[in-house]
Amino acid sequence: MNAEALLDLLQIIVLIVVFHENFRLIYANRGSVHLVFFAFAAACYLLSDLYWLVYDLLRPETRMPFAANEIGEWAFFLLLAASLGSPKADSFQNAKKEVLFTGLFVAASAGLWIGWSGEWMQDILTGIFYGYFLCTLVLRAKSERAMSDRGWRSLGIVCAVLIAVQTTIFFVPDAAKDPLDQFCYIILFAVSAVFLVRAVLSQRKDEPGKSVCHALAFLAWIETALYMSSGGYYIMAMILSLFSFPLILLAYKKEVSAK
Amino acid sequence: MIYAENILLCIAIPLVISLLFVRGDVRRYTAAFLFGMGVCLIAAYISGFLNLVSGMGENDTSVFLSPIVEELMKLMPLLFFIVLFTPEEHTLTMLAVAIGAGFATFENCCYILTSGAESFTFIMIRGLAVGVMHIVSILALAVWFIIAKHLQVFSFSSIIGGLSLSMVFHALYNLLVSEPGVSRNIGYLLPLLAAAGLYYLYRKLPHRL
Repeated sequence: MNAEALLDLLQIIVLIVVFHENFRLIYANRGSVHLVFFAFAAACYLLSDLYWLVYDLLRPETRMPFAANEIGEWAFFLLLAASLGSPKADSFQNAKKEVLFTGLFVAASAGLWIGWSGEWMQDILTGIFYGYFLCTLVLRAKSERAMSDRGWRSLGIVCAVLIAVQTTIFFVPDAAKDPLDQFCYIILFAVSAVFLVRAVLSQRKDEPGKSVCHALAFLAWIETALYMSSGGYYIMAMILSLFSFPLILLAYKKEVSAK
Repeated sequence: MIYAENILLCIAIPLVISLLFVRGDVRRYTAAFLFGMGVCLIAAYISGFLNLVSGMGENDTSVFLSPIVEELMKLMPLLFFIVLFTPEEHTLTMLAVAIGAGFATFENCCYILTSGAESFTFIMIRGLAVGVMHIVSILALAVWFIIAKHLQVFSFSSIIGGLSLSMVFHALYNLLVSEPGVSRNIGYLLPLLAAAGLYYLYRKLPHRL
């Protein structure tokens, strides 16, 4: 069993524990809507991961064609967005710039995915569902004031630099590709570490809404890192992603008990 | 080569005639059963078309694309019943079971006509694995719809979420049985285990929410 399959198995175990704990909370809280959506998002991720693991074991070293697990991934983003609840009526007015920038970031990311894989339909559709989740998260994060104005600006600059460098890699000679690639990985993992620390620290504070946003922001960034990584860096991103679901569960648990 | 339309007509005509003489839940069950057989035929047409268009080959199409098409086609009549008639919980689960059973029955009929019915083991596997799998995947979807309605979260997200779960479950079964050996045996057991889990969940969950 290779490292990727082993980490997939670990992720499945983590997700089963999260799913079980989530169901216990749903019983205790008489069916909290956030928890129900999160439970089903986790179930979609769990089954998609299981499918990927089985495929990897049965048909190693072969590229997976379009399969049901991609639809599971799209549903995962939709259900996570639904778990954040409906945005308030005025929230879009306060977050126009951020939402617009998120849309551009996702569109550019989808362009890069197409450039890497050549799978037009899958990448465009994944981009739409991923973008919807990110926009919902941005709206919620803005209304919860989960990030300062400086934080939003810094994140915007980091995302713009990342997209610009990744796009440049397509056009530069082979010798220049490697250092640029390394630079992107440094950015990706430095920001992942920042999001992880924020998500962990916000669990200690008495602000459940912000905790949910920070935990989901960590997951969203890790998903971005997974889509943009390969080889050993992909393994690193997978290791980091193991923390995302327990953190989200803890954040929702806090939010539900605060209500 | 089998003439699937002719087989469908042969099985459907007595059932259609029986609809004239029955009432209530039996009539609903029979109608949903017929819908299940009908969508099975349409799903076979679509899968055949995708096979030609994608160039994936018959085996890969049935492993990777058929679960998506089949689950989507099974959802259609269920969604049609929900939107048009807003059925009660027990009616919804009954309709789901009937659609799944109709789908599985017609698929099994066509399969047996293609591959023969001499081997008892093969027939039992076909009935207990594929037959149960089609019922479990759509029943799980119906249970999720009931939960979503209870919590007033029946929306586009919940429909896609439920549909994706049934698609991935079905695809996982197809992938497992596509390779010989241990994986195939696990695949055959999967629907029965899922049926047991779903039975447990169905008895417990809706009443607690």
